[in-house]
Amino acid sequence: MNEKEKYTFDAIVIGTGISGGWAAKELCEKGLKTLVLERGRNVEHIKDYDDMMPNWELPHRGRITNEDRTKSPVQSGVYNYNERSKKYFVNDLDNPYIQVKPFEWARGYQVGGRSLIWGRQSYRRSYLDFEANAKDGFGVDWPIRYKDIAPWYDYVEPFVGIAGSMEGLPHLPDGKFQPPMPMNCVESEVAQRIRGKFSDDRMIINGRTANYTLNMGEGRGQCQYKGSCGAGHACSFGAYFSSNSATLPAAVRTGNMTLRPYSIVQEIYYDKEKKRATGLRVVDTETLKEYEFYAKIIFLNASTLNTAAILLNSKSDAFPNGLGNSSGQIGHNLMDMPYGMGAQGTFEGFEDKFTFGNRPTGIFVPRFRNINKATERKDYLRGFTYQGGAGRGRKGSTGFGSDFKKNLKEPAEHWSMAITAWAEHLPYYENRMYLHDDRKDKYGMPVICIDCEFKENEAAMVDDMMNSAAEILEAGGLKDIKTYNWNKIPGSCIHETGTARMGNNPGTSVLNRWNQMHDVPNIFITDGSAMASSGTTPGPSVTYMALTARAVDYAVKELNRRNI
Amino acid sequence: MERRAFIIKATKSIGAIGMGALGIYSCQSHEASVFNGEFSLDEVNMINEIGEIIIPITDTPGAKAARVGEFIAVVVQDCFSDKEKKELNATLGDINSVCSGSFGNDFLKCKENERLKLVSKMEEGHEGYKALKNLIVSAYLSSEIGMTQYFDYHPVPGKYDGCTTVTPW
Repeated sequence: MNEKEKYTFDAIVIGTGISGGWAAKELCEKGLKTLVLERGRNVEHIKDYDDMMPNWELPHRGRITNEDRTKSPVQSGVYNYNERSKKYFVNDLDNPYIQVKPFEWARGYQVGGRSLIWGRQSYRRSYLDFEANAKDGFGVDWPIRYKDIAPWYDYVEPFVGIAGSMEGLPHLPDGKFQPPMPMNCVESEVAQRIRGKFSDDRMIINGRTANYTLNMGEGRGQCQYKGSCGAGHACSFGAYFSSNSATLPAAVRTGNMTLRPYSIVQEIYYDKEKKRATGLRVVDTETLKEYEFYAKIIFLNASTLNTAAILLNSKSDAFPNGLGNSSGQIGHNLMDMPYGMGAQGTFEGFEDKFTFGNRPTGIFVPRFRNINKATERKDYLRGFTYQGGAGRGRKGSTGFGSDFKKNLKEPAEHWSMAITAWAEHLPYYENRMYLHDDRKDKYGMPVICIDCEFKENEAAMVDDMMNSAAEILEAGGLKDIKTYNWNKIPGSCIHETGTARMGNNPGTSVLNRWNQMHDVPNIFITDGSAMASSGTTPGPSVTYMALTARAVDYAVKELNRRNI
Repeated sequence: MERRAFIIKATKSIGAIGMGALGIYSCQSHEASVFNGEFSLDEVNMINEIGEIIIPITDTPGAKAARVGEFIAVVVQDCFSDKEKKELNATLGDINSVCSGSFGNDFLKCKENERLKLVSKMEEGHEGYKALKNLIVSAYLSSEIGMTQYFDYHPVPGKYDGCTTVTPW
């Protein structure tokens, strides 16, 4: 057996995050011997988690240190970066990138990727999202419609485990949900009060989250309401979806998966005679040695920016500008989602009521702008949604001594409630990432440059996102309402997408309707880079999962038909 | 685990006091003053004593038992910016100079009623003291004593009740 045969598999998956985990599971379950590559270390479900360690045992009880800020100037600003979760974020000095314009790039290089630390909100895209580009001309038309992906949402959701309520809204399709996590008394009351108050039918529904209200089996118990997932601490009860808790164990059970951590893919090889990718080159981050692996099909799931980087770094005579880049679109059309505009207020009533337990979700306001003629806006395209919740904190105390100490426990006089907007980011060709000509990281990979901004359409929504939030709270009877804008820079929503978009036309897009590269039919890309639009509703991961399962199904059929 | 390492470090510096006392006398006060890069043992004690006045022992232990001073010293050393460090040091210096002016002694050498007077005076509106007080409160509430004895401790709530009649803390 020569070296090449020794390292040949049926399939290779690059990346173990949300979409890579799904590719691994589906390929292995279909009987393919699959090599799964991860650039970071292994993180074993439950065994490697420290969420049960009491907070007071941490030297800084959760605080970020000066050393953290020095080593990870970007990561330490991510919302759930803290003393315990920081092991799931990269060291920025070891993993540099260039911000041509400010861009907060959150990264988790380990088995499971960012699925360990994700926000878990999970919403289907609707017909509006898949038709938007065709309608207003931004970006290229999606090569699929809601009906194409709907059966695949149906397929993945029961395995993901999503708690949510059925609402019957065409612009926010229902799914295969577990029972929702309930609203608290103030949220229910406000939801009831606003029903019917708006001509555009604004409403408050239960947040849809990949946390389990039902037991999911071994290593995947019901939510215990500890709040550790929201803080990025993982979960020893396995009560939320991650690659580590769900898809990778399923792949392991088949006996078909070979998982190789510490493996950075730098280049994919292309055979211009066969017009196929043949394999790839990996640098072992521990030894800096190079290895080559070969397979019939490759699933590229390295996340939006790194997926594009691998392609751009894979140059050959046939593809001098990067593998599968005859369209010149790879790296372009980068999107995130603007977020952080909203309103807060206080609620009078339920003063004798409190909440118990840390619910890992909140309430949700489906989109209500640009749904139809009646809700059309003259000043901007597409729309936004809100996430939020009500809560009751402590009042705070004054003075000192035993009364001060006693009063520290006093609850706040009133409940408070806030809702915050997440909005669509239009695809613009000039928002892009590219590889630096000379600078390389310590593994020899060219450094990524990110040049991305929000433009007029995003800016035009800001005031409406703040004011509409205030209107909703006002209709719900809240008092002392104040609007806010967190002024988040691109990237901080951690919904980066678009750098290898799907489309019908090989001249203007990278992937076809099956997430298959137009130029290289045995490479499939099903992470965020495949998105032709950011979508109005956040929670994009479940869409990547559905597209991944759909693409694997197609790829394996094509493989069996000997078409690839 | 890290916590244990910290205790060993603290014990070591106490060991150094003994060594100093047996060795060169003139170094004793210097050796004795070391807690970590930012704080002397006196300053740690001072924060503990101020803490105990703000959050005294009642039916639950107070700030001194929760060792707020030791924790704050670690946080200041590892997490504070140079500006924040300077401000906190200035506050402790301020407290000592007010004590000297009013009672002729550093805070730690003041009698209990004098310390109470000092804290009352600071409560009238001293920005630095306000920041120190916030630190003490947060150190106390996040300590094992704060989380398990002062508050009700629910590491695994097991359920969500969005409309209950008792405070969860």
